[in-house]
Amino acid sequence: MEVVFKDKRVLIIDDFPEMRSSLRRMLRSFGIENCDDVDSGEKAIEKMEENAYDVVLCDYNLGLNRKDGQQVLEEAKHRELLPYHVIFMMITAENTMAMVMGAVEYKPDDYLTKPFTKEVLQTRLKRLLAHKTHMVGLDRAVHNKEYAKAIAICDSHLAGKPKNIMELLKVKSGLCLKAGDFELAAKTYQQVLEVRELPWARMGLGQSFYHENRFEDAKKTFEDLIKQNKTNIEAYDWLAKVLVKLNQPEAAQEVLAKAVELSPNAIKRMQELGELAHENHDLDTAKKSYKKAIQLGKHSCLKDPEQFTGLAKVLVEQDNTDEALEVAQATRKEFKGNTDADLQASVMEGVIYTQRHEEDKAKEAIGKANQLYEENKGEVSASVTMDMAKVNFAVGDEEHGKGLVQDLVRDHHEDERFLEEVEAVLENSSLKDEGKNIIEQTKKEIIDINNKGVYLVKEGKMEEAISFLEQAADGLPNNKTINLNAAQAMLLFMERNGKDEGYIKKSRQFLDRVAKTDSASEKYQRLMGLYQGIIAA
Amino acid sequence: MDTKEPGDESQQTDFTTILVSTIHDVKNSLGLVLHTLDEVMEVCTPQECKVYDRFARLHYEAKRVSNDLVRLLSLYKIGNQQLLCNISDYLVADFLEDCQAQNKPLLQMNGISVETECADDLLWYFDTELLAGVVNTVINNALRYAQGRLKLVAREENGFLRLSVEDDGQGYPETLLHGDADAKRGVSFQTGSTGLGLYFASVVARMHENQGRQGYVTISNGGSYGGGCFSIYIP
Repeated sequence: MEVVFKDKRVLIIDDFPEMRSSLRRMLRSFGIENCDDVDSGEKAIEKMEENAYDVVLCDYNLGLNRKDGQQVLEEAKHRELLPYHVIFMMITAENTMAMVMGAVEYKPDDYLTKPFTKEVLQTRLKRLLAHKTHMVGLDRAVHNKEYAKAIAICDSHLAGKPKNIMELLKVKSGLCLKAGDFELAAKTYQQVLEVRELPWARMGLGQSFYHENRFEDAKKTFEDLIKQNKTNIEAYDWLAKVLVKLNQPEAAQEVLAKAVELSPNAIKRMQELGELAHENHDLDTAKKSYKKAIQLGKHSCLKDPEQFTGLAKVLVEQDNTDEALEVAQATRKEFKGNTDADLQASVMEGVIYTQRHEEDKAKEAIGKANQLYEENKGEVSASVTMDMAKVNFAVGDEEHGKGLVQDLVRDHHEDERFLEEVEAVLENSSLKDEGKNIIEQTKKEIIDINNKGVYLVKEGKMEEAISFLEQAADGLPNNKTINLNAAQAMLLFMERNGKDEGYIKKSRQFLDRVAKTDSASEKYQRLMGLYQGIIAA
Repeated sequence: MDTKEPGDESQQTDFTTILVSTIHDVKNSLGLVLHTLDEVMEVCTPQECKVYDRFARLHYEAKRVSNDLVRLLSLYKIGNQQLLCNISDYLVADFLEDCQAQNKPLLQMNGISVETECADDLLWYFDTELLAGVVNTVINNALRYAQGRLKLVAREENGFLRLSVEDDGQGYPETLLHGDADAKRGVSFQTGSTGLGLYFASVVARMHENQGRQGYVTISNGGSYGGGCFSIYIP
């Protein structure tokens, strides 16, 4: 395939001026004149906001205490500054590949190990550009989360007996995992493993086992992978997940601690270690991990107020309420203008003052949280809502406490394990005796709504069903069942009566709400397929 | 690293650490030297610059030292299990294209042309960084002996990927050819051959295993151009 370099626009990110000019010279030597260069990840993000690039060349190491290349990639993807046709190349020093690669959510299109010649850069870019052009349909489908379509594209490529058959099988099986088709994923990985024992396929097979609840098989798979290569960080991460499922949180913590030792700069993993240690009442480790996560997050889009909340709660358990208060204040400072963080800080203060038996201050703090909760309805995480309910009960605000508990039940009316946790909160409150009743009633309220919607659909009263379910879904944006059914009603209507712009937009909104937490669910995937079919018609 | 005497451990460790960090430091300095040389050579062409061939010579020798240091560091890491074999699937033609691109300036400076022979759908399983290290070293060595031509050949042979670098030079000396290509045989203070390249290649080959079979290397004379022929076999 003929690749045209001349019209490409490139962004260079490197903290060394010599390297930047050297890369510019290399690019110019094969016809790319249109480049910008910056010396930091922060400036790179600004540039990507202003301009559309075709290629981003980013050095992994951008200096001490600065965003590194992986963080630049994460933030750019996170903020959707890198459309699927853009090539992101990570430039690494010799032998740091393993460290860079780990189990990260976003991987660059290619790694380039220093030192390299301009011919290497040219060859790789040419190959990647040709590849992107060839695979643009696939990338677009993946970007739009149309997994069924993407898998079909893989299959049609595979049918043509391509050269890069393994790569396509890898993409396809990864898509199956994302789409929730774990059986097909496992089958595809097995197919690869019959040809050749490859770590990525073994890893994928282990993940398929995990999702199919075959935890013992998954455990063995990940353990074998680690035995083969003790630096396989991804295998440690998954082994820890499996051990949690097998109800061995202490073993899980141990495994995750090893992964952290191997790759100490991943924020999410550090946060997870904090959470696990917290659950295991290993407060010192929890504290250390949360602190490290916060420190690592300073320059990252992965910084999360929940890391602060976790730290504050550990400190309260250690009876160190002074430091906990500092953490609450630091949260507001670190996340200026972020309502969710403000709310979490107020909840932390509520928890802290309750512990200190300073009831007036606790009341004031939780009162502010309650107010922010109303402003931010539907956006507050379940664990924060749970803490809020506890503090409300502790300061004697039964009404708010009950309201929060009901909201939790409404959002998760089918999740029995979660409902048990909610019940435990009520058990420890003044509403102890009515606890079960409150949960059952709220559950019934939601089931009735859902049943009415489903009934109307069955009766063929489509317009009535749609307006009923739409209203219900907007009132319960976090309830998966209701939102899926609302989307389904609209999609069925369009299937029979043709496209409707309003319904297309609205049903997509319902589906997107579900995708936030559960894009792998079978029903979501099925409806997404239906949706794609309708908009394509 | 297995040669330490009992009771000598801490001293040995200290010395090893110093050795390794010094190699690192020298390698980084050399990197700067090479980078500067690149810049110099970019502004002077063989036609205009009378000393171009001396620059090319400087560049070649610096590159050779740098490669040796990188190999040494890799071997140290392999010994410490810090560098593991990370096998994945690659199109061999792409791999060869990358190797060729990486060595292109050096080949051009030395007036050597390169050909490759590889089916474009040949897919194989190996650690690309390690194998590239081997091929780059071999190309580098071949440059000293080749008259004007090199050939990279890849094909499947009895369940192995056979990857060969052939040159049109005098071929390997008899002493080196006898027996297998065990590194120690290559040591010669007269010719400056340390055997490091071959040793590294055979370590990397052995790190590749599949269904009980291990990789290996061979050297011979002959090949397409009748010169030296290095082959690495990956199961």
